[in-house]
Formats: sequence, C-alpha cells, structure tokens
Amino acid sequence: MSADKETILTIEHVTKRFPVADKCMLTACDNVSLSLYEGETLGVVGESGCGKSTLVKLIMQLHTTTSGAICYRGEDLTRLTGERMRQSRRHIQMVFQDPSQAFNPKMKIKDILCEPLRNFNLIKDREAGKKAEELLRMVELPEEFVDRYPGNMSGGQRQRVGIARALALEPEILVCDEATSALDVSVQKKIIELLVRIQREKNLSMIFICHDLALVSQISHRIAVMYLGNIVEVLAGDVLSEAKHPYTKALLQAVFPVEKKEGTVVRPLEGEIPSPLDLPPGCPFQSRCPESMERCEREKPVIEELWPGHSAACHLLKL
Amino acid sequence: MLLEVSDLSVSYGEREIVRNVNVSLDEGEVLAIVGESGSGKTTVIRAILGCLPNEGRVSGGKILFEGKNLLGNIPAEWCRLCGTKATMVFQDSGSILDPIDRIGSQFIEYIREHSSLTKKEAAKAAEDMLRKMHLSNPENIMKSYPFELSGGMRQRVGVAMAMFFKPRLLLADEPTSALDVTTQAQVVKEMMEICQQDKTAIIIVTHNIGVAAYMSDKLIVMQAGEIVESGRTDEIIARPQSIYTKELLDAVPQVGGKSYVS
Repeated sequence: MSADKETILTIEHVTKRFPVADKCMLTACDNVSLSLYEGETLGVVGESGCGKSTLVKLIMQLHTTTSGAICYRGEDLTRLTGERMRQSRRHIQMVFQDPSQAFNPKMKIKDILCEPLRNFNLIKDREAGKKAEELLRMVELPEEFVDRYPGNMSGGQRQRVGIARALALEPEILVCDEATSALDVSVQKKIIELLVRIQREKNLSMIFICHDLALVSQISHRIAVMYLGNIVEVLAGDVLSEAKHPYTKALLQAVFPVEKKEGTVVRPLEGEIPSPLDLPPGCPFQSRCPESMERCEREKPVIEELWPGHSAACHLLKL
Repeated sequence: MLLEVSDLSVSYGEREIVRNVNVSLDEGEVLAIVGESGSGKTTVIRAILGCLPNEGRVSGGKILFEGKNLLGNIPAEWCRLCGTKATMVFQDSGSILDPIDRIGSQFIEYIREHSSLTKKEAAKAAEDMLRKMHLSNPENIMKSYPFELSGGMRQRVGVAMAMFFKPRLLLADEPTSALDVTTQAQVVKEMMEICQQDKTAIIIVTHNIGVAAYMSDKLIVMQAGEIVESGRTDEIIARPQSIYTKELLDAVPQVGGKSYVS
C-alpha cells in the first residue's frame, strides 16, 4: 500500500544513550529504523519507559542522537547546525500531551497561534488577528477565542489550539506525543476526527505516539511497537489483531474490551519492564516472553520482513 | 443491603455539584461509576467515606452503611469505620505514602493504628499481604522508599493496604488510570481476586469503560452531577438507553473497530 508513496522521513539506525550515575549508560533508543510516508499516520505504541518519547525528541531535534541519521527529504537533520537547523524545524511540528502546560498562561490565544509565524518573519503584526482567526476556524473553534487566555478554555479546546499552533507553519510532518491521553473519550474522538480531516485536506504525515492500542489501531496506517528502546514489530494498523510478535500479542491481551465477546480472555503480561540500565544480551523481551527459548538469551533478534508491510524481530517467527 | 445511598446531593460552597444520586450495593457486589471528568464521580465516593475536600459538604440525602446513617457520624466513628470496614484506593497511591518513610514502616503503622498486633506480627502480616498481591520479594519492598517502586508496584501496595483488614466496602478512585495496559490488567485482576476471596463489595470510579465492563455487576453513568443511566452492566453495554451513554460507548476506541483512515 505504502510502496508507491514517497518517503518523507527516514530514521536510520538511530541510537540514543544517556549517561547516568556510576558511569552507566541508559539506552533509550537502540538501533531504531523507521520510515514515514507522505500523507500517512505512523502510530508508535509501547509501555511507559520504552523510548517512545525519546524517539520523538530525537525527531524534533530536542535531543542529539548518539549515532544514526534522521533524514527529512534526504537531508540528515542530525548534522544541521545554527540557522539551517532552525529553518528545518518549520517542517516538523509537534502537539504536546498536556495542553494546560503547553502554553504560556499570560499570552492571548492570538499571540500563541502567531508566535511560530513571527519566529520565521512570515507575518506582519497587523495581519496577526486575521491569521489567528483563520487557524481557529480550521480547528473548529469560534473566532472570538483570539482574545482569550488559555486558562479560560476546556482541555479539549486547548488541545485544538495546540493543533492550530503546530499547523501555523504548514509543516509536512505533525508529531503528536500522547496528544489525546489527557482527554475524555468523547473529546478524544472529536480531536481524532479533526486530525484525520486536516490530514486528508493537507496531505499531512503524522507520527502518533500513544499507549492506547485500540486508538492507535483505528487511526494509523502503520503501527510500530516499541519495547525497551527497540522496534519489535511494524505492521499495518487494520491488522493489529493479527500481530505476530509475542510482546504485541501480550499487549493486545491486556486490553479490556467493552463488549465481552466469546473467547476473549484478558491475560496480563507477568512481571515488570526490566531496567534499561543493564540489559542482558539477547532479546530484550526474553524475561517476560512466555515462549522464550535458549537462543533468545544468546542472540538478539533483528527486525526482518515477514511479508510486505509486516516486519518483526523474533527468533520464533523464523523457525 | 450493605450500602444504600438515597437522594444524595453534594455542594461545594453554594454550588450544588452532585444531585439526587441513588446507589445500592449488596455484599460482594461490584459497582462501576463511569462518566467524563467533572461529572461528579469522585465526589460521590468521597462523600460516602466522609472525605470531601474543605468546601464540600453533603447538602441532602442519606448514606446508610450496614443500616447506619453515616452522615450522623462523629469523628471517632469515622475513625473506626475508615481504614478497616470501608477503605479507599486512590488514583496515585504514591501520593498517600510518605515520601521519606519506608513502605514497611508505613504499612506497620497503618496496621497498628487499627489493631493490637505487635510490630513483628504486623510486619509479617504486611509481607503476607504484599505476597497475596503477587508482588515478588515483599521483604525488599518493605525496605524501599515509595520513589524506589514503579507506579504499578506502588498501586499494588495501595491495594494491599486497603484490603488488609478485609473491608466490607472498597472504594476505588481511578485505581488504574495512571498505569500502562499491561500493569492495569495485573492490578485489576489482583484486586478482583482478593475481593472475591473476602466478599468485599467494590465501587470503582473509572473513565475506562473496558475496565468497568470487566469488573462490575452494576453500572452507573454520570453526567454533570446526575445519574443518566444505571442498571446491570451487561444490559447497559448491550442496550444503552440514554443518548449520552450511547455517545460515550461509541467514543471508546476498540481494537478491530472502524478505522478512521482507510
């Protein structure tokens, strides 16, 4: 499906290590490779601490990579410096998790929305009000909101402002880090509908970080599953329930369905996610994997394509 | 009837936040209250345990627990009730724990406050309870400070403390909302297991409809401080009557549900 589409962002063998106390290294992202196609939503799921947010910060150039390359339209972002790096930020914009903390509470909505444009000298002061109204219309908020402060708005409204601000520069890639996790389900649904509509209109590419598997499966063209800094499985969004990797299967079994269907059992994954500090050699999932074998302790599985559009990193799948 | 709440109204200052709430619960029954933020779910269960925040007060109705009206309680009576017969699990158990005291010493203090066990007996009983919650290595946990445990482990410590005296009623306020799906499934299963052993009735407040559907026998849907629908969980989910409930159920994402993008 995605083969005929143009690749807009490629993440190639990106590794990020953080130094921690006692000269240890914490590996937050380990040899991650992913690509994002034009007009596509790529969902990234995993438990907390699996490196989702670090990956986002690497893409946004908020952290520098330890090794590897992040190429936007063929240009390696990790090598840019100074003004060229600043200019590159126009193409990739972000929506944050908590809309109550993402804004300066003392700025009016109109200034919040036009700040990115002012940073790049794309707007004159007298045009600001009009531009802000236009952005508010796009996210289905009343134009009168230009003179409000973020404090006088509900969570859902604030998240719409967050989306409008991220889209002010007309980026090609929108990164949403848990953008709907702080919202109620009905508000979440409206925000998702808005994002999907805007994506269609502008042919926007999105990276959608989320821990809600059900939501991700409904809005993503492709899903990448992360575990302890590694991508363990990449598959199309509509076939998530046919996942092959034991970790993805375990995640799916831990979801409580609203309607109890015959034969659905909720089976929690035993144990906790191990510390990323001193990882054993071999498969990162070995300690919790119900089907772990001797080979998994020795050798780390590499992510390989099972068939077009579906890859996984697991020794079991190669038997 | 273990608990009977009739026509409960709660006000914060002059504003009435919760109106005409009726809840009834038998021994060992599980009731889930769902609704959006600000619908008054938490206010209802806080009112039952007499722990409304400063401004809040019950402005009408009755709360009968084992046939006794709790609203007439004097402070000493609340002390005898809370923590033993009726207990609560909070969204973030980390915040009910003292950050600069070890888990063990807090657990022992809690046990000794409500019973005449010696320190040694209490420590052993606490470890047994942690083991019952499937926490590996309880000795280590007793020696840990709260920040040394993960969110899921702290939450299980919270449930272990709340279930220690085999309460008749457990109130759980979003007990798994801050957890990952895998940890959530563990905590929910363990909570259910212990409550079924002890025949504890549960009122769980949650915005996760999946968890509510899995755990509860009865369901209450709240909106803007009022009950819009209540009844048997499976019936409401299969045949929701009010428009609001339908919208709410419709908005819940589901694996294998309709895709927005294809």
